Amino acid sequence: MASQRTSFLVLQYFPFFLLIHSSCGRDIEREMTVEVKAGTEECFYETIKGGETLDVEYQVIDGGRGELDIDFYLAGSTGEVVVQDLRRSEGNHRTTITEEGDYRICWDNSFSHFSTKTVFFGITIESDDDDDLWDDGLEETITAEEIYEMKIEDIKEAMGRIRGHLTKSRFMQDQLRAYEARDRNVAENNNAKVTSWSLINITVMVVTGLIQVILLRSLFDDKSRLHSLWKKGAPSTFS
Amino acid sequence: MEGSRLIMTLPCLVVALAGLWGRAEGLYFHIGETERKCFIEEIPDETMVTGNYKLQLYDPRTGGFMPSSPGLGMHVEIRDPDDKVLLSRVYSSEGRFTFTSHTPGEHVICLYSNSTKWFAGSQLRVHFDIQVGEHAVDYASMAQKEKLTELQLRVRQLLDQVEQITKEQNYQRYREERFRQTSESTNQRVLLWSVGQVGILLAMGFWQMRHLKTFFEAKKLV
Repeated sequence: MASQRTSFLVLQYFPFFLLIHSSCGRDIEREMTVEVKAGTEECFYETIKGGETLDVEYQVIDGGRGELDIDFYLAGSTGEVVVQDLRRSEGNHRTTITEEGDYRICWDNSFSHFSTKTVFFGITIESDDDDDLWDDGLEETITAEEIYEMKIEDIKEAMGRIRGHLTKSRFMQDQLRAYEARDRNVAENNNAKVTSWSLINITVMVVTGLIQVILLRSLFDDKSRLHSLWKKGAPSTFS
Repeated sequence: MEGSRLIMTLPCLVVALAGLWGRAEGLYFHIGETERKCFIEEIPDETMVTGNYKLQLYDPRTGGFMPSSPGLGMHVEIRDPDDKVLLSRVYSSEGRFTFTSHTPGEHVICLYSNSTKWFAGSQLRVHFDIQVGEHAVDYASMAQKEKLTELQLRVRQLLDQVEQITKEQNYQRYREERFRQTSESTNQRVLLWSVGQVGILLAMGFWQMRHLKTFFEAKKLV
């Protein structure tokens, strides 16, 4: 029972893990949206092995008063800065990591005193593992069973390609969503600004008009309290 | 032939399994014991979101972080776009949480430790990973439960992906409509306020002239 059942089980379950990891490599993709408050920085650490490629892509989608920029830097485990961006609203960096260690990915908003920035970022770690583990060499004589296997392999390959395309579509959708969120935030900020400034304008106009009338009246009205102000200001005129 | 294939694939299995575990431990960040860290996820409705996390407490003796701190708890608070609390629970120091959105929009996921200190305690290292939609589905256990073959599972994966794309596209239409409404409202407001301001200016002018005219006539200056 043991050997046949275990071989069956391993053959059944093993491919599921393969499906999740496309080529037995460690392709990790993460997307997150964080808020970086004014005067602070947000740092994330990622453990990366030598030979892997780190791809960081970020975009500022909300910036309070409409300033959509932030500082970005990528530092190694010893603290040396590998990549740095100053006051950029979006960025895309791809570096091949030679030293293994914990790398620090930071967004710095300390130059801003009031605006909280919202940053959407995506981190992709690709490892170029050798995916030739399936290469066991086809023999010359191909039996019917092997033809069936090869057809299944073709279908599986096609499905793998479809999955790759769909994953790319999803990633582009997320990017478009980030752009749209940024534009929408800008539009909403504009709307709020228009409303507040219009109200302030109207208030100032009305108050100025009333003050003008009051001051003018007090100029000619001896009984008014402000008349003394005019008298003090230009005594020669009222002699 | 089958036996040799098996042996060839075993190392792959080990790497894959290790990779699976390595996933949740990949990205980490530091927070103070009393600090809150929030993440924003903009998702369509009926989408499942899974979060894997692990809390580690700073160990002053070694200068590093303790590999596991069972006494700590992690408070997870999730708010939906209408600022209503979807989930507010304390979990153990390591684990995962799942929620499904019922309204489309920006959901906020906040993490903080359930430490009872009043001001800044020691540092905490939080390993965190959020997976949305079809990334959140555990295909290995689904295949086991429903006894799917490899091809069936692949088809299921592709179907889930396409469904998620469709949901995102519908959500994109809804967002674009809101965006358009905001822009049109801004446009309308600019027009309204401009006309209103000119009207108020004219009205103020007329009122001032009339008021002063009556005032001067009363004072017999005119």
